[in-house]
Amino acid sequence: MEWSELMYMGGGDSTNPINCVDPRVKILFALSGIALILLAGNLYVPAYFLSLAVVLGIMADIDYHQFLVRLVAPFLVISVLLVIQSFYYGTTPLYRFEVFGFEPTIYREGVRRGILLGLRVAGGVSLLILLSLTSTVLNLLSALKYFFVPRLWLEIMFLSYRYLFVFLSHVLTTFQAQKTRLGYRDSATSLSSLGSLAGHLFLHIFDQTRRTHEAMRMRGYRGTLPVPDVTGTPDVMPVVLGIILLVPGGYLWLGM
Amino acid sequence: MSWLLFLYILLGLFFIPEPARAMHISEGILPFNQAVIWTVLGGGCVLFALWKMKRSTDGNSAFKPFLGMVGAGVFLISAMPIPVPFAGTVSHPAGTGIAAILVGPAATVVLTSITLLLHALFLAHGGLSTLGADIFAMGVLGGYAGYITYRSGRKMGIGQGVSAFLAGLAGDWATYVGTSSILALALHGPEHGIGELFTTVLVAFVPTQVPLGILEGIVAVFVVKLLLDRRPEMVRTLTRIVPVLLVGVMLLFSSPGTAQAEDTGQAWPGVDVAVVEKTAEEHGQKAAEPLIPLEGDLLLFAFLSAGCIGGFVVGYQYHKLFVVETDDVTDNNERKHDEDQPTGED
Repeated sequence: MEWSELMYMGGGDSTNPINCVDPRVKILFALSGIALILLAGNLYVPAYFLSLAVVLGIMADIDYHQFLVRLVAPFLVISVLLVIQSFYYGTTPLYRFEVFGFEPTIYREGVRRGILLGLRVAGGVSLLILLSLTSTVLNLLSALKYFFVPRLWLEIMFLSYRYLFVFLSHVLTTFQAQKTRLGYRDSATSLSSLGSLAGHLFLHIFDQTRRTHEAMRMRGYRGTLPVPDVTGTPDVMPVVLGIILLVPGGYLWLGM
Repeated sequence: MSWLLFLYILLGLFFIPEPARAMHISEGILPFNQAVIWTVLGGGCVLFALWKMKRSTDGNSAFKPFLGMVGAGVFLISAMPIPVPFAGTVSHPAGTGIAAILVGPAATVVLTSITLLLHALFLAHGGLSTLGADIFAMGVLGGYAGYITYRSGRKMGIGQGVSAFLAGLAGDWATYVGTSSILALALHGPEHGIGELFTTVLVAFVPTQVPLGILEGIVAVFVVKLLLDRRPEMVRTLTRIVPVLLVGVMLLFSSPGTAQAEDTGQAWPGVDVAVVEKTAEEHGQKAAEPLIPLEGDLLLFAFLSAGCIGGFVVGYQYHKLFVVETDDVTDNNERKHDEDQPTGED
């Protein structure tokens, strides 16, 4: 899957009940789950939330391809963490060997800690992916506004998201044109082509800014963009269900 | 040392032709207390940067759309896969050096926070609990390192291209030094100190980050040169350096000693003894005699004097360093020189 194909967030299907959950509830649920994962000193809490994210993802009819591809990078991180912790953490040697006169040692505690950290990464990233694939950016921005995130930041974020796809299309078109003309045949030409691509992207940004600003002024823009509000209190049922789903995680954290 | 074997294994991992996703700290790596501290620190830096930017956005209605689009541009550049020679892999530029040259360091911090959140949501790079740490490493350290390097280069009369290259390089490497420090703080164990793990992580990053920093510097040169040719007004600074943040960085990186003192249960002996001397002794290096043998209050007085002299010099030159636009002065001088030259018509 190309990196550009990952520029996708879900939440567009309004018939799915999980997509329709109030974004404030979803953000708080994700943050609470991540907090419990970070506080946990055992494997069961992150494993629970990893499984929960997968189950909720299936219920939300998430594209499993999008879900799995996003887990590739964290998987690489998990591998590196396992190596680092195995050699650098612990006192009980599990395996010692000799390489070029050095005697590196793999420690039992380090392997356990590496597995714990790996599960924590997997669990946390799964909750993050669940949040991003069941919510639209506008809904998330509205929820952030409710949580007193500064308006200036929200407006810039909204504009960045809005024009991300405009510039992505421009970048991909230029990239393909360069590739067709052998602009990436070796490292030197690749570098030159990427530098030109980045430079033209910023030129395009400058030109687009002028056009966009003029269009916005004609439509009444005077320096402030409207950011939609999330009004009212969220439905009770999703809140109750969210708490119920968090309780086992809390019990596993406290009880084990 | 086992770090050598670890390095071999890591090099092997990095030689697998997969994108090197080392720019962001993944979700779940930081302990809860450190995640909270970094969130407060990173969030505080963003709030401060927003406050600094408010004056510019209130007076110019085109500034917000411009920033929004630069944010989208920074996101796309930081998501672009760049082939890294010698490492046989691809990696992603930080983009903060280029952004700092274009919009200044404060706006770079804000744009970095937006970019990192989009990375977390779209690509699952980084996370919510590590957002503060990533903002600090990439936005604050990377952005300010790039900006300071660029401005210092221009003030010293170094050309635009070289200054842009150094800014891209400094921004990238500062990001990774920051990330290595944060990871060392989070992942160290009682037997192997923070300094040792920091060195290991930094060395592990070297195969990709040294060439990537150079590549990012070269890309920065291309970008700045192209913009200077077509849109010279884009390459200007819009905000000032905030020395307070630099002091905050120095205070922050003195904190590893606190973690070690908790492990030993004794009063904190200081970073020099707890980290530097301990690591040096483990590697068979003994402390050399100081060139100027000062001790006690006399040594402290010498430090104080050096600080006062340095601070006085910076303060005396403050206007020239941070206020006067070097490009305007250079352009005016060049224009005046051209006007003075005799033409063939005379």
